[in-house]
Amino acid sequence: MEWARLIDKVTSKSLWMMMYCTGCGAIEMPPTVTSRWDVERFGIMPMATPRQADIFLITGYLTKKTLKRVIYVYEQMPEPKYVIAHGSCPIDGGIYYDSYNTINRLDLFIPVDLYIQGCMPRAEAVMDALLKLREMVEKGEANAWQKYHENFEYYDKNQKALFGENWRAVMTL
Amino acid sequence: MINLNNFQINVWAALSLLFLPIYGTAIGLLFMGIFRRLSARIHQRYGPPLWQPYADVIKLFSKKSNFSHGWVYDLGVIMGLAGPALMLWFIPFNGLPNMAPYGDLIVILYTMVIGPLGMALAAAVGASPWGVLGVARALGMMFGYELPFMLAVLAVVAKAGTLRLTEIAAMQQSAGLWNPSNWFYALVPVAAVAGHIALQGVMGEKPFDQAIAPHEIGTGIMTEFGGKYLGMMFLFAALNLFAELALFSVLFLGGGPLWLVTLKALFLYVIASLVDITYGRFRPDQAFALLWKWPTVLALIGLMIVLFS
Ligand code: SF4
Repeated sequence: MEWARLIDKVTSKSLWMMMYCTGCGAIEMPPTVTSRWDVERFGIMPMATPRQADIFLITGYLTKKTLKRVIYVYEQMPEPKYVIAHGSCPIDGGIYYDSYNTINRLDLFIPVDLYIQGCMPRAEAVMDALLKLREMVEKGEANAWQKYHENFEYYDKNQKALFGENWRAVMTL
Repeated sequence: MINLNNFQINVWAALSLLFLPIYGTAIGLLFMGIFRRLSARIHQRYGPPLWQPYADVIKLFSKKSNFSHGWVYDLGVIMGLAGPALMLWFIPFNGLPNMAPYGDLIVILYTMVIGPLGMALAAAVGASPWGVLGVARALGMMFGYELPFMLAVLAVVAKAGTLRLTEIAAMQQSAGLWNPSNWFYALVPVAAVAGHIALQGVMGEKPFDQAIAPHEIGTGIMTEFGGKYLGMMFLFAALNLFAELALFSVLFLGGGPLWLVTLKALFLYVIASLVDITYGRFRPDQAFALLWKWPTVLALIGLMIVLFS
């Protein structure tokens, strides 16, 4: 148990994030990672591929088309993995709540650790969320990834209801 | 010489062989920390603490799911780590018993290729098109920097009249450990400068980082690596970095005991980092053309000066 605590402590000092930037929130990422706010001083670094990432940052609205990619990318990330939903769009639909092709709630499809509210949240809010996530990882509380194993039927049912029964077989990237 | 009939188990030598790769990895990771800090300061950021790469490696090895792509993938990663360790065993450090008396420059130049080749093998079976593209670029770059590097080494060999790295190191220290007048950087300066430019390519620093090329081709060779495999990749990068820098400082900057070589390696690495941070990435064809033009011509001139003087 002690060993696991120690690993959690070290892990919280080194979190690599992958940013899914199709929503408006992408514009808040440059100030967060460059010299204005510099998240690298907390060991948080943007990474280019899902295999290398620990944090999956969803910056804004997800259409039915991009959500498929998000689910695929999420499943490719090695565990433990953490998801941050950034902006109101992935929380409740935001201003696109009645759009014909965006989804309203991200956590119906993949488990989410943290939400940042706002339309759009500023870089300070992103920093705040990242530090909060760091704290949660250190305490061993950021366990949403386990839900994907435990409640996979639930997520699978929601995914299938949206995309059709055999969407994984049909989809080509 | 190793003679199996009266093979003596030399505990001190065995321990030093065990110690060298561990030391090299630790120092390489520290260098990476220094690099990240340095680049942050140049970007006017604070940057991560110096021990950041150690935390990164520990985190990567503690990941709970690791994706393998078959036994070639697993073995390639191990082979990648073995290559620079072997290379480090053949580099002479004063007062540290290792395998340096039993191998010469040819052996070292061969061991230099084992590590990157192992990683390339793993990346090639990794089923990611970016990985394969990275491998193709890495092999292309290898052709690019090996020619000038070999020519520069050849100039040293011609000047020293021997292929033995132990003798080359001793020759440079003949005027004293701290006296640079016998260093090959001073004796064959033109070739040494060419070798120094090629070193940038050997280490894969910008402008020659086409094989990794973050955000251009994913991360090239590293694209498919995650968890423990990426951790191994990091250890390989650290060890390989230290081994290459140590080789260059023994060849051109006089060598010496391990701590002195480490200091010289740090000096070389800070220069390389500054170049890396201030340059952009060249296109593969531009980088290749550059390597086969200036350093190669310089190294050839240096070789001519040595041969005809
Ligand atoms: S929350 Fe606002 S800023 Fe963010 S993606 Fe939605 S509409 Fe754009």
